[in-house]
Amino acid sequence: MKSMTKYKGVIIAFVCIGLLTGCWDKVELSDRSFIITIGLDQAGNLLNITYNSPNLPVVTGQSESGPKLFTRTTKAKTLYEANKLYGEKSNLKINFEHTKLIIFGKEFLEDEYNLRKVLDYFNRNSQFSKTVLALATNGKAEEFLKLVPNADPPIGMYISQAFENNNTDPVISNKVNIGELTIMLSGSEGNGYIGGIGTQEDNIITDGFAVIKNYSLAGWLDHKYALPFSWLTGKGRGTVLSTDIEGNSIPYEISEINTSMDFSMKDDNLKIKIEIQTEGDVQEYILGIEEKSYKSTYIKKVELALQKQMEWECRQAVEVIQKKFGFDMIGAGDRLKLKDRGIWMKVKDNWKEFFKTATIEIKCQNNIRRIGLAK
Amino acid sequence: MYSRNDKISLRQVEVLLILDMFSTASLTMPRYAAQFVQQDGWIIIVIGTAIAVVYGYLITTLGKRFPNKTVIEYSELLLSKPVGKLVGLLFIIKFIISVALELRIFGELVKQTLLPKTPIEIIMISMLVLASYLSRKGYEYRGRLGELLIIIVLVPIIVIFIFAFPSVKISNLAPPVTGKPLDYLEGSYLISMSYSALQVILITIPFLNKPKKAGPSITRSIIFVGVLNTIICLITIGTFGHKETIKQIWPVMTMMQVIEVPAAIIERQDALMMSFWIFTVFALINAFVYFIGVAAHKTFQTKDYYYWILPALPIIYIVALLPDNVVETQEWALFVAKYIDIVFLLIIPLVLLFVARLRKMGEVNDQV
Repeated sequence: MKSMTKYKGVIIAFVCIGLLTGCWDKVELSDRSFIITIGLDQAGNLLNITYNSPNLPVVTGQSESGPKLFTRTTKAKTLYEANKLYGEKSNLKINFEHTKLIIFGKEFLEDEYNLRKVLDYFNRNSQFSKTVLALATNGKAEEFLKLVPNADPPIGMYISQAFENNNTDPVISNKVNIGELTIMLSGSEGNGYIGGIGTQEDNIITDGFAVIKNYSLAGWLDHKYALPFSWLTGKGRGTVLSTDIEGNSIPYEISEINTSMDFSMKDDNLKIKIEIQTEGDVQEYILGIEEKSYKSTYIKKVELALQKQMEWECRQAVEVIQKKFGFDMIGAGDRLKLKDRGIWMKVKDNWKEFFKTATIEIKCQNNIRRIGLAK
Repeated sequence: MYSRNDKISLRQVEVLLILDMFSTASLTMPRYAAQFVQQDGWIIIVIGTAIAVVYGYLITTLGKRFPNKTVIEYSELLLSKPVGKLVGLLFIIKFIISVALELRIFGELVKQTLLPKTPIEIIMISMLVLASYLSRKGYEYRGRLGELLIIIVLVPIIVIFIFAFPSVKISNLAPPVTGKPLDYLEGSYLISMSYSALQVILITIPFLNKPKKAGPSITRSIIFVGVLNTIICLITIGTFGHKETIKQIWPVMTMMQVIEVPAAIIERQDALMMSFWIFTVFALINAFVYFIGVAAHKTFQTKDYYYWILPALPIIYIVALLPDNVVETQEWALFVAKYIDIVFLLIIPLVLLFVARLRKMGEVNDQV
């Protein structure tokens, strides 16, 4: 019996040696290549994938020589193969768990299968977070990623930080991430939009929206429509509307916005009444008109001018959305579902056509609440 | 060392049932619900839960008549010995298949999300061995562990779901009730089968310290899990829309990836959530392993139940590896849910109850 206990002890000791070795297959942090940004382009019949990863020792200040950022490109038929190729090229282990940004090039989006394939890959792969920001550029993503911006952090980080912190830009307030893009596309037969981004003298600027129809690029919603678009979707808090009064441009910052839609149906003709109500502050008039500007009649006048301006801008945007792209970018269908079950049941199978031919009426109301500290 | 008295309190059985029912079935439930009735998925979960309450009521009513016997013993009494043995065998086979499928799904999920480089065999064997270790210790130990686990499992899951609310778009759930009535019926039936862990109550009753008062506790646990499932379904379909929900193999898992927890330092909370979920799977697997032992013990009238647990492990393991891939595993699970669970949840209890009334056997309870 005694020898039995002895044996037991020996066996347990051996098992411990085997099991307590810890991370025998660990990979050090500095041996990993954390891909921050992925750029997707079309090159002939191959995909041209650009990866941006920070040079960790330099970025964290442990080493001073060398570039801050590695940019590598691979060409392959699928994104998965490209990732494998990258792994073969690099001495580091590729890792997508901290990916922040995916940029789609214009030619890439024009292909009808590319977006479907890539989104499916992101959807299937558990390494990618679904909250990775998606952006489109009106050129090549590769060139964009090779650009060294007028900014300190690596480009992907810089953009995702900018998009995180600046909610007042109309494109940023309507940004979509990979998960939302997939949901948007699968919910409406491949129609959706991606925030656009471009460059201007080494600076990165937002640039309208890439409009996706049937999973491929249908066109670009120009940047001038981005502002009214954000009002129509009700996300334009913090945006600025300017109007001219007596030759003066007056900026009005929207601090509160409420967009509502009403629907009615007459002989198979859908009528959408959009009402946008805002509250906000006037940021500047002009010196020397104090007598006039500190009067409620003047404020009413400014409000009226703002209303006309806003209605005009929105109407133009709606026109483009309805006529050029012909699908419900402004989420009218979602509102109709909640508002009027009867109409929705009638139009839901043919919603695209109904939206295209709908009569859209826009009414805006702007309330100036504050005018700053001076008269 | 505590002595083994194998009697558990009503609170413990309630907790164990919650853990057993809230396992991998909850991870896929929004998908099945959306497949039947699109955005109305939550409605059939509510109906399905109500149906499950009926199963629970039937089973406890039957159990109350024979408070000191398992289903195998009293079916021998009611329907002759061979039939009783057959019922016992059926239960053993059913439990083996259920635990095997659960184990396989667990293995696939862990390999996919947490341990991509670990062979699935290792994941499954370690889970099985651990579960059987606890099973051999007896029911009371399982009860006590359940009381511990339920806090570890539910608190983080509920906290995470609170953060999920902002991403819900109500328009994804509108307009309600647009499908065909038949779809609602079929869907509710299938959803009610995800509470199939209820069948263990047929064997649990004699282990309770107050078997005659089991009814309310069991109903409470079903409703609790039902409410949780309904909320999860509302959030999942509300976030993804029904089309995307149907596309996801583990919609609830994917939803975890979408949730943005404010100021969180964790990049992928799906992996974190997965590790909490493992506890419920552990509870379910060890429940089934335990009841395989008990059922075999009662059927073959051996000295004790735990002789049966070790021999059962290789069988469970082999059955778990039979399906070729995830898709086939889920097809098997669906088949079991559609055609087999009903036998144990409804048909056997109904027949036994009918015969017991006819032959006036068992203790008749005034409250029934």
